[in-house]
Amino acid sequence: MRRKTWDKVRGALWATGLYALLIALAAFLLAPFVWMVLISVHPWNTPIPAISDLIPRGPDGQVHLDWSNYGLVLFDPNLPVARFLFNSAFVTLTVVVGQTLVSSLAAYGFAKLHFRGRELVFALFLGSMMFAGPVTQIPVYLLLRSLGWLDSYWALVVPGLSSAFSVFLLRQFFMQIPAELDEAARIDGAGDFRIYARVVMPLSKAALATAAAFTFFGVWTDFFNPLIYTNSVEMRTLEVGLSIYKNSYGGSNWPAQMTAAVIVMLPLLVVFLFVQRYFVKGIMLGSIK
Amino acid sequence: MLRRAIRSLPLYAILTPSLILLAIFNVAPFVLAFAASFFDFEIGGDSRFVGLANYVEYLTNDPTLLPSFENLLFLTFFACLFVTVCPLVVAKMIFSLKSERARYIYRLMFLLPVVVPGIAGTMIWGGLILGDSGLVNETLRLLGMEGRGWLSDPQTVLWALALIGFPFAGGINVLIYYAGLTSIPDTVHDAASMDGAVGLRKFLRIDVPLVMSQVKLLLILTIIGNVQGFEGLFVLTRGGPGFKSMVPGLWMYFNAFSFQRMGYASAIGVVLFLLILGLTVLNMRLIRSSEDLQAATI
Repeated sequence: MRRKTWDKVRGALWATGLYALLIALAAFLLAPFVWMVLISVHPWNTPIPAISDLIPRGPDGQVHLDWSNYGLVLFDPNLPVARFLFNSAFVTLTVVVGQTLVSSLAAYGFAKLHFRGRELVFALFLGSMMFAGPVTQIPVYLLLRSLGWLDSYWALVVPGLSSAFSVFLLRQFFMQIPAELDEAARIDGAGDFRIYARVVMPLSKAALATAAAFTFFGVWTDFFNPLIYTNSVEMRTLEVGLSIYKNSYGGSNWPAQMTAAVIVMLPLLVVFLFVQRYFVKGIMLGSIK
Repeated sequence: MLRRAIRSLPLYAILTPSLILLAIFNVAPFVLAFAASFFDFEIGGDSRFVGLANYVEYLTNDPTLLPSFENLLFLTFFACLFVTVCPLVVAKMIFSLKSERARYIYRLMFLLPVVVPGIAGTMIWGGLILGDSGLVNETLRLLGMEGRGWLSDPQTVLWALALIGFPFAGGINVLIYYAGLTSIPDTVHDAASMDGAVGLRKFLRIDVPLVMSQVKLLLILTIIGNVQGFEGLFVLTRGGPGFKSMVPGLWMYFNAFSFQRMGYASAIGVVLFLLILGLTVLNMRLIRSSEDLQAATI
């Protein structure tokens, strides 16, 4: 009897400790978000506020949030931030749509084709994309240069259209779709394209959303490719623009820098909230192993 | 046989866009990089065949070679350590929560940091936390101690870089481990409990071996990420002070785009490629996958 009570107490203590630790860790991870947003509404051109002054107050001691910083950053007279935003949005959406199409087709092919050495070809396919990173950076630059694509949207979009990771993720998912569904459609006279468009794609929303979200995040936050492939200010993306912003304001105008950072982050947050349900499911389904 | 091949034609056709892109942006550049590494050339200028001279110079006469590989080893070692341990512990903690709803909310909270763009992260860490009047220095001053330039002091720069990202449990890694933990059958846990295994012992003996394939995946991704990714270093330290935080990838970038030594940079790229390839093969060999372990234990 006594022992049972003790076990219960111990269990409750353990659970409380677990929650406390998790909350502490989560707070640590999420604090920078709150910090960024709070600094972004401090008066323009002020240094990093002390922790005690994190919530900005006007001279009357009232809380005073300065949202005008967002307008000042977006329409900065020295840097075309609105143009950066457009470039990022255009490039990211084009790549996400294009890559989802190209990768899902390839993934379907790799999932349904049966030929000897298929796994080896697939492994080589993945490997060539995964490991070639540092070594191909310079030749790709030279290639884009000789095509005359440097400093244009072509350079920012076309190399991103195929992704080993998306193909891998989608293929794993497609292979789990029961073959009976395929065969039923085939008996009804459907060809491969029809099966792909009418059977496989609608069944794979979670996987497609996951792959698209990964791509969105990757392209939106890509730093080196736009840095290397573009050189005029008008062709820069937000992520590169952010680093220019950081350099031009040095360490002095923290509200401006944090406002710019929040502007870069906000679309990611929106996409995240939209796809998080699929995202968690897509990974949990064992697409990644 | 032929009929089957003909029937599969649409499927082969479906693969072509991907394969063409692969050929143009991965295979051809790959070959070009090897070829370029034997030349001495700059963009728009003459090129001259120099044989192995780029490799010889890099491997025997480059002042950054030793420090940059030491730094890379240091940073990669700690990244691998943190990436394998911290998210696994967090995933296990979330996994052992009783309420399904709480598990979901925590999974989401720990995933949320994926939305912080890389450069914003470096602003937060480089300025707000480790900067001259950042959180760490202000706290030290409050305690009556001297602050320092963590990222500009040669003695602290590497440690500061290695600790960026603390507590290393945000983002997708927790979810990857969590997925691994859910795929462990309950029977395995029950059997272990019957044998008297509890708590930490059970975690180390049962959970850890069974998520080895996730460990392997994350290790490979971390190693590749560290060898290829130098964005944070580029923005935060540019390899300095001196070569104190230089890594080979960053040196390759500087050679190609600042010093206009494309051939030399290509040679560094080839060396890095071979390094990644070697490490990945080693990783695959050394760490047996969970399937093997499962087969061995059951």
